[in-house]
Amino acid sequence: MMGKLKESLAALFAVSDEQAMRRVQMHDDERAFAHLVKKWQGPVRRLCIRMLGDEHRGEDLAQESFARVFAQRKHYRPDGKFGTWLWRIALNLCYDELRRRQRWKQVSLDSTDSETLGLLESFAEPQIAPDQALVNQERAELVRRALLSLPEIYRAVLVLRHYENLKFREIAAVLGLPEGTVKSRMAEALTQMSQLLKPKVAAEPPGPQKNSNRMKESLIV
Amino acid sequence: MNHPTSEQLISYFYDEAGPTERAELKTHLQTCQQCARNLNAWRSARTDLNAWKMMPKRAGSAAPLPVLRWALAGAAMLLCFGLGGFAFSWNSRALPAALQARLRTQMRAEALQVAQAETERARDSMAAACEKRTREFVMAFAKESYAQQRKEIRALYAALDKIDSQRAADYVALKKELDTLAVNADAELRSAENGLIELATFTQTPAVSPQE
Repeated sequence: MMGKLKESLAALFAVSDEQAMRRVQMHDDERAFAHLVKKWQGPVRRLCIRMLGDEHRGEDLAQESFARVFAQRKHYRPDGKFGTWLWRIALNLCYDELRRRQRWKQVSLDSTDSETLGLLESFAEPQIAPDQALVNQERAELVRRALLSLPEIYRAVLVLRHYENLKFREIAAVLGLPEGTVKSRMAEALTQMSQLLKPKVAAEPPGPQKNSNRMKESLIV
Repeated sequence: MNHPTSEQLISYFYDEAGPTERAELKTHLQTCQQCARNLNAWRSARTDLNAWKMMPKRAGSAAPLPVLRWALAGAAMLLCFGLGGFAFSWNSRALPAALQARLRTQMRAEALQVAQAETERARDSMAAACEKRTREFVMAFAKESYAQQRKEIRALYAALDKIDSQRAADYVALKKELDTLAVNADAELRSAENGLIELATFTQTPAVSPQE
């Protein structure tokens, strides 16, 4: 009862993201900025990692996104939603990184085993049995690779809708596209993912004896 | 009902279709195997996508550190640059260490930028003031020089006038003296002429010898 009351009171007096950003913009308010970072660092980190398929670089880009938010604080327009602005900044950084990689032919799909292991380490759930954990890791790796093989325009929509649970209207605002385009991209993304994943993830028998190299090969299209 | 568009179907799939559209699509899906198959494929993909779970960031890499040192360093730097107008209130909360480092660099760059702009502004205003002062000084100097020059020229003209007057006076005096001299000479000549005439007259009288 008291807990609920406390939560209601906290919600009543909570500062909105837009108000916090306004404080950062006007007064360089560190508390407000820390509030925004605390609230958004998880989602932004997830977005960057899923867009790049690389945990370390994804984390770097998440940090870079907040640094960019701070650097561009004077350009923030208070009439827009902070979340939309932040997603756009993070996505643009991801696009830049992907373009840079393409230029240098550093496609994450061909990342080394140590990098992949580093990525998978973070997915390990301590409460699950080691065998099952390994299966989960392998399935996650399949999904990661399938997602990376999607064109960026589909990947961005899919990550924002499926993983970050944004409405199509919100995604349209982030990407600056008509809602219909976002929906058709999402449909196409899901269709491609179903084609990429259907025979692989479902057919993957549980057990640690499977090696991930074989799965990697099966996914390269 | 014709086959729904992929946009309608995806709206239904993610529960974003309106009630009427939803009801129509539901009815359609009960009879249309093709659309149902598409939807099932999406459902399967959606389930598969959930296999990629994302654990929260490991605590070790995100240990929050106090920002006080950062704030002090920044404040000291700003004081050094004398940026009075730059509000700096980063003093109480914690941010992830990596982000702190980035922001610290960024703040430093911003402070440097502001300081540079401030320096340039001060330099420009000082240069403008110097130029103004120089122009004023040159103008005053030129004015004074011109006045002095005019004064000197006027004095020169006055001196020349005086010399001219003196010369005219000297000429008149000289002429007077010459006239006097001429008159005197004329008188002297007349006197000499008369003497000579008298002398000649005296010579023409015959002299008487005492023996005769």
